[in-house]
Amino acid sequence: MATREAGKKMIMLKSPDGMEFEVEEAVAMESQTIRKMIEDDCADTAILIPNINSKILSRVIEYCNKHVPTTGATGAAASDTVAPAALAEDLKIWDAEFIKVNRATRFNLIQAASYLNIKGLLDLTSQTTIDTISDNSLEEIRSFLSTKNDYLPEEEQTIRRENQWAFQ
Amino acid sequence: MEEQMSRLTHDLMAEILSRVPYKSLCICKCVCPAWRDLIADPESRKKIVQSLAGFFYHIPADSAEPRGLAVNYADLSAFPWSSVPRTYPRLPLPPDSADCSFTLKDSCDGLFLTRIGTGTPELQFRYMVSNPATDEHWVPPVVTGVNIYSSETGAWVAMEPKWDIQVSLCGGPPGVFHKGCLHLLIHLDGLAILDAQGLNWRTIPVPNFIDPSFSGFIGKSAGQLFYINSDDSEEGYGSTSFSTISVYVLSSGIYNWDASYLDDGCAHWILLHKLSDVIPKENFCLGWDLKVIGVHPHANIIFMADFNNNELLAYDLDHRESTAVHHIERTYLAHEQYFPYVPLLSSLRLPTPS
Repeated sequence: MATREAGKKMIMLKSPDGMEFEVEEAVAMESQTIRKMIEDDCADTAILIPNINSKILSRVIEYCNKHVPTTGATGAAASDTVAPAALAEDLKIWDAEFIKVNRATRFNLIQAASYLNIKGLLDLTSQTTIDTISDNSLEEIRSFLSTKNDYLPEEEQTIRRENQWAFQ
Repeated sequence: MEEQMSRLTHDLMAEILSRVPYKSLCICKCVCPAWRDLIADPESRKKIVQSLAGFFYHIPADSAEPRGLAVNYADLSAFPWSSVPRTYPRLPLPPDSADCSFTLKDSCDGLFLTRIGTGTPELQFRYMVSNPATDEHWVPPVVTGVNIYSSETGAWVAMEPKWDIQVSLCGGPPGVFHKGCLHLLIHLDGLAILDAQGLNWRTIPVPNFIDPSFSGFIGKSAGQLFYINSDDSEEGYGSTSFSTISVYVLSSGIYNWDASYLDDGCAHWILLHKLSDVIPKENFCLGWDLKVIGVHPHANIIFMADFNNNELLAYDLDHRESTAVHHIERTYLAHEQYFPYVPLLSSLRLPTPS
């Protein structure tokens, strides 16, 4: 969670389970949804984030903290001494660790990233799902995503025949 | 923890599926009816990757409808590797073009470039960019010479060509925009490459050093640039001997602009297939009896116009078999250009030039 620093404007985010998170405005504005609220002056008091519980919201804030442009806002390592490429590499490694979560959390993060409109987080959380879809067989996709196959046998036969070329 | 995927809203599922490559998307259709319906839904289709739907091709001008383009459309939606329900796309025309003539010149990613001829007796030309899927069209300002138009700035930039040789474009297949670069087949020397900023210019020979303007074809499929031509050069054009077709892809090393120029540009071409069974039991000569007109953007299929049988053929590179996919009137076939149509369902949002 962000700590208060002198001269930084802070925003209060509230989860529906009653937890409050004080974050820097710049960090909160990684979310386009919150940015719009702030720009429309709808953010005088705490902003209630519906549908996102405190556990997920704290992970989202953790992500935004890391990804806010490093103009000293995060107090991270002096960015002017680190090459941009190295910085991007560091972020990639951090992202890979961040997304090592169970499926339920990942789906919650996808929903949160979509509602809060945080493109980077949506890309990151969707990617694991996309990799599953792109690299696995039909049966693996179904089992990995716990999607029930409610095709009638003859229906499935037809659709599989129609798309046979993609299975090769 | 059952049914986690179904907790995601349709919008969100569409968002995820929009990042999935087309081939995997076809596997996704088989996962369950909900996914199939989502992928077919008109709203989500705007986000999801589209594939080849058919080809536009020229027809004689006297066959054109009044105030229309002299083009026909070969609908291929019946085939599994197509992404659309049956459609009859039409190229939209500007409202003020009652006495104009139109010629389709190029197509790329669902957009079409049409030349509009105006005024009699002295013809003047302007160009139009249009999208049949959204019924939008737009007329950029007239230019001559090498100019690069940016849809970001809405302006043309005049360029002095910086190719190392005199380049003469051949009237063969349309140019291909791939990896941020325009690729054009040129007379005698092969392939010219130019990036969208006009900073990098390069020409490379095509395999076998045959003038590609006769039977050569370029297209893109599965993220690679294809070059397809006959390898039977020593037989000479018009030879009645059985012909083979070779399929090459361009290695991505060519886009490493800083690398010193390789002496043998052909090292950049990788031979994928050498085909001798495209039309079984028949002799053909590529360029005369048979012409390569397209590659499928996602499936391993190349398309050809068969002049002897008046058919469009789809040749499956995995199974090595040809299927006739469309019948074409003989008079329409002769050496006309074919323009692939991959629907672009999102709006063009073309800028107004300042």
